[in-house]
Amino acid sequence: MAAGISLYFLMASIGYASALGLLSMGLSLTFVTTKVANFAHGTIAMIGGITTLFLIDRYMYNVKGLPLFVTSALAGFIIAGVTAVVLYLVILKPLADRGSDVIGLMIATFAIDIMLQSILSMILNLAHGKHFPKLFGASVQSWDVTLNCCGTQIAESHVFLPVAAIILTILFHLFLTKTKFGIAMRATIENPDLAEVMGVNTKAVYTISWFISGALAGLAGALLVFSLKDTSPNNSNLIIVSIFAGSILGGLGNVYWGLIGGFLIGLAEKLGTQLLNLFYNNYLAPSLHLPPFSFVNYEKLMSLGLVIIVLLTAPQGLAGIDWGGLLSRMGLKTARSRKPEREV
Amino acid sequence: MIGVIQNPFTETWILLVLVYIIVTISLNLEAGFTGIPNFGKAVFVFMGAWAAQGIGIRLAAYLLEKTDPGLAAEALKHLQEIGIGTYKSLVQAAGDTDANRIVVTSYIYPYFQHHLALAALLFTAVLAIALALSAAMGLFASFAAVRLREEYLAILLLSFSELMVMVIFQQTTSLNGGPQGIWAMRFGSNGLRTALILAAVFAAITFLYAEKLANSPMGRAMRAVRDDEIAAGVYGRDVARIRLKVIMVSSMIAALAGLAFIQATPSTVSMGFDRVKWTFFPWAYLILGGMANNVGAVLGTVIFLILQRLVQLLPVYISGTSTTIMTIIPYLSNILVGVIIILVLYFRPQGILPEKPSKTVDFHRILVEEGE
Repeated sequence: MAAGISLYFLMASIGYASALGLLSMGLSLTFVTTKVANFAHGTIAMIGGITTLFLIDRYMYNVKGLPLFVTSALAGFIIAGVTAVVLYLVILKPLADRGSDVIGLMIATFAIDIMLQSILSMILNLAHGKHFPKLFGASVQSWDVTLNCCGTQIAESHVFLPVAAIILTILFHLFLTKTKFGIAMRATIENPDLAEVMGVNTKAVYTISWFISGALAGLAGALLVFSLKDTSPNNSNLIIVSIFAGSILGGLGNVYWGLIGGFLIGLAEKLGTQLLNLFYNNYLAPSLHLPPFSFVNYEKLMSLGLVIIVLLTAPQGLAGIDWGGLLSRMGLKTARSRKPEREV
Repeated sequence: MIGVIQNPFTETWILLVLVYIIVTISLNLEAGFTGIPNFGKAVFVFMGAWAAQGIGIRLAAYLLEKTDPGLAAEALKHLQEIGIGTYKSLVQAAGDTDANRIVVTSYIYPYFQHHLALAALLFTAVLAIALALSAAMGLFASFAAVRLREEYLAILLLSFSELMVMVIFQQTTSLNGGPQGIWAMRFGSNGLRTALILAAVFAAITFLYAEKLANSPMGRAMRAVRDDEIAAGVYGRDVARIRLKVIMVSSMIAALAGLAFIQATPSTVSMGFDRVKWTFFPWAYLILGGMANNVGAVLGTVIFLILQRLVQLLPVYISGTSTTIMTIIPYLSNILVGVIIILVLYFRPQGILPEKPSKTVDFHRILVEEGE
């Protein structure tokens, strides 16, 4: 491990990266199914986060520790999922049915984003000091339970996030490959018209995909909210940049690669920035007599830089790269003829 | 509770209308005519403001120092005497958050009010910088995605704008004073008057230019790119080039709005140019008024701003309003805008004034000219 990076920071980076992975996966899912680039995804995550904090604040004297933590996060999961479904059924689906174009749908999600943020801000403003007084006192970070591990302290949410991401990914994969509805969903992603002809209820598939997307965002937000400095819904303004960066890195049309793209963007933002900071201030600046400079506040620029590089070099993202060919060209793998095209 | 009910449509409101007309028309060129979903309008408006704020004020200090070194030395001495600090040059003092206010209000503003030729030179320079900077930003923000689908362009522009306004300019104190902000260069003694005149002139130029452009061969090429990218390509139009051109020109127009706006509110920080106010509102105005119709863009802006002003004044007219209601008024206004956008998209996607076919040369005249 590089000097200057604590275990706490490492776990925080992995936790943040896992949350971004879940968020990017959800974004890619609704994008491949309903062709909507959802600009409200970050705010849906904030709904999960604020629900969780609200429940913890309300019941912290009745229920203690882990059960409360898990139940609250689950509540965030469900409420965010339901919100996403309602938004899809009430606003986006009618618009799409009336023949709204891509830009129209995007501006609709943009409008939804601002409305949700305003509603959340309004609720928090009105409830300030009355209903959940504890929430606004100290920093949200202090709400996170710390665990003693390996001689240092790590935050509970930083452990939960990767675990939840792994479990949910496995469950989602099993859902897509083993259940009938999951197979129907994959068929709908591949070819909606053909799937409909074969008797797949595509409307149900779209609705469920919005629920999954929102619920994953809600859970990620429920755990991510502990790493934020405050509960302001405006936090989603910057998170959405990273979510889209993750999805674009993954190819904006592939759910699994969306997860990996989000994870990599999260690592690049936290760990990459920290490593760059250490490298510059410890080696580059002293040897070249440059003034010291802190990159920590500019971590979001990592994702923008990566997006520009990806769009210029491989617009299809990681999903579009021929990994087998790349490996064999580098001599890491024996050359093999490409997979034969599947017979029609 | 009700005081004197003042005229709700003050000069500040008129300034907002004029400034938003400029931004909405520039968005209309992109989104309405060319089909570019620019979700990063805020940063281009901000670039115009920054040209007067971060760069303009330093340029003013430099000019003052060159033309009147005595006054500059006096200003630096004054700063030292009142205990703000020692600065090597007036340029450094003008860009510093602590010294900026005193230097600007007591020395730079009065000096340029008495040296009109110098002020004119400075204004020309600031205008040129604003246009060049904004065009360069537009190019940088979009070159990676102009060849791809609209979603990529929208995401990239949104990300770029958010990161510029909320990260780079917010964290880097030397650019713009960071969260505290610095005072911008103001031309003329009354900032609001100057802003009104500038905004009116810019809005008129913008409207005439947009009308001219929409009815030109370039305007028809833009519509072709929007309606069918492939067909436009087949007929020999370079789609990526047209998109880049339109983004750069629209960014320059948006910078004019920022330059005019900052005259009335010279100490606005970068966070003041947030995406709700400067990206989302112009989109809402444009959708209500009618995409690809410049008159519609103006109409939508005026109607929406009247509505927003009325919502804003709600507590003045309702007696016995508490502070709680006052705090939620801006949120109510945003929700109202969101609801109207979605209703318009659903019931009348073409807006109040739908797109009209572009004016072309009379067909019979072409035949006559060909026949000669």
